Formats: sequence, structure tokens, C-alpha cells
Amino acid sequence: MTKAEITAPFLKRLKVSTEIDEEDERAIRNLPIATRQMANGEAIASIGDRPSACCLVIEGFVLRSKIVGVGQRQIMAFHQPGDIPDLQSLFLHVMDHDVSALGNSVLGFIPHAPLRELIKHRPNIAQALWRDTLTDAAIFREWICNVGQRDATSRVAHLVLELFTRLKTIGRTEGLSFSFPATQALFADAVGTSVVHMNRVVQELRNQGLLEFDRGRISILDETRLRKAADFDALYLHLDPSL
Amino acid sequence: MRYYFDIEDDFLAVSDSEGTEYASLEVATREAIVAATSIARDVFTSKGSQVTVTVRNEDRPLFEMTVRMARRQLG
Repeated sequence: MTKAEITAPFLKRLKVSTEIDEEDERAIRNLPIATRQMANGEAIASIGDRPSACCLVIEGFVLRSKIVGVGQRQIMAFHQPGDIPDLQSLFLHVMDHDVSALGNSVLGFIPHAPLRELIKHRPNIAQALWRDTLTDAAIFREWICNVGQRDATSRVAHLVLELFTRLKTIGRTEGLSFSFPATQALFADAVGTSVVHMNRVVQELRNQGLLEFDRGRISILDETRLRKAADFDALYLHLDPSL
Repeated sequence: MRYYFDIEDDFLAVSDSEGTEYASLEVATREAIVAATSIARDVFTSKGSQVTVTVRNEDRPLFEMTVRMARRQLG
């Protein structure tokens, strides 16, 4: 994999929402990034770890989760190509949650030291990464609203629209569908329902002609009605820098 | 042991074809309680009144659990 290929999804995403110039791009492309294939479920960083590198998603997906109480898992975020899920480890040295691969993924590990140098010398990049972590926080806020207040059907509809909207910005959707290797059990952990309830939600969304889940592929059948059912407004994703 | 949870309520009947692994019948029962009560909330807010979760293992049905809503007008 060339350096341009490794950083392409990251640059594409940064350029959607921030101002970075050619020199900034070159500096990002020249970062020392060690790529690694990881299998579904493999741990990238776990609670208590002190990572010395940040991980960039190149192919596949990554999830952030935490085991609560006697063993229930809450998934708090899904990350796609171009995201750096543990950027926080640059400043918060001990991991307070788990980061693991979702599906077979290719990840790039960027050592903290050159990343710190980059931020020191390139203010545009520092701003872009700062903005990135703020957007992450905005997504977490929406996630709290989703899990705390919406009913199960709306939660799932909302999560699907979030994934779809974000994947669209990096060109990883085909029409109204996209590939996403999550099982129903995993979705249940993300929206805070039981797997059994999730089964019913999937059936209901299908019966209403809104969504279809089919072995790693999610298809939106009626976008307008799905948005309504989801109570979805993409504002919190902050995809447009002119706003 | 693998457990299967079929759902039946005023709007839907969903048969569980995949099942989920649980350490004991006790854990599976707890899962059934969580599922039945949380589905009940969705069903009741959509003006339904009842949900039944039937739990099976690979060989036979084990038990069913029903949550019912009763509303009585006062005054």
C-alpha cells in the first residue's frame, strides 16, 4: 500500500470539513504509518493501556466500547476509513475504554511523537484534528440522546442514518445501501437493547418498508420515512465547514 | 446452551432462527425479562396491549413469559 493510498480516506474526510493546504497534505502523507491487518473483534487498545501510537482506520471498521457492570457491553462509537478513533491517547495517556476491529480491517499506526511534531508545526492540521475530536464529542452527545430518549425502532433507524451519512462523505455507499459487517447482537449493544428486542426492531423496520438488513449489507428502502422515524437531523455531524 | 426467543405481540410475530448462547437457564430467563419488558414499552406506546416471549432450546420449548397492559378509566 502506498502512502497516498493509506492517507487517502483521512485526507478526503478532513477536506470535507476543514481548510488544509497542499503542504499540510504532503506533511500528512509523509507521516510514518505502520499498517496492520486485524481480524474481527481483535483488540486495538484496551482499558488501562498506554498507547504510543494512534490508529488510523484505512479499510473496514473500528468500534469503541466499554464493559459495564457484570458484563454488558455498551458500544459508544463506530469508526470508518479515515477516522482516528483513539486520537485522544495523544493527550489522555491511559485508555478509559476499549477500541477493537469490526470485521476484517486494515489499520495504520501513527506514533505519537511525529504526530505531536506535526501539530506543533502545522496549525491547519492542529485545528483540523481539534475539530475532529469536537465532532466526535458532538456524535457522543447525540448517541446519549439516542440511547436515553428514543424508542428502540427510532434508535436503530437513527444509527443507520448516521452510518449512511458519514460513509457517503467518503464515497462508501452504493445508492441507498452500504456494507457494514455488524451482527444484530452488535447493533443491540450500540443502541442499548437486548438482542431479542433488536430482532423485533429489524422485523418491524422491514415490515414498514424502511430498512433491510441482509448479511453485512444495510439498505435504506424509504429515506424520507426513515428520517422521520429516526428523528434524524445531520447537523450534529458538522459536515459543512461553511455553517 | 443456545436459547431461542420467539416474540408475539399485537403487531408482529418474530421467530428467532439464530438463537443466542447463554451460560445458564437463569441468564436466559433474565434476558427474556429484559426483552419482554422493553418490547412491551414499544408495543404499549403503539396502543397494543400484550407481548409474549417464548423461550426454546434446540430440542423443545422451555417457557413463555407474557407482559400485559391493563388500563382502567377512573372518573
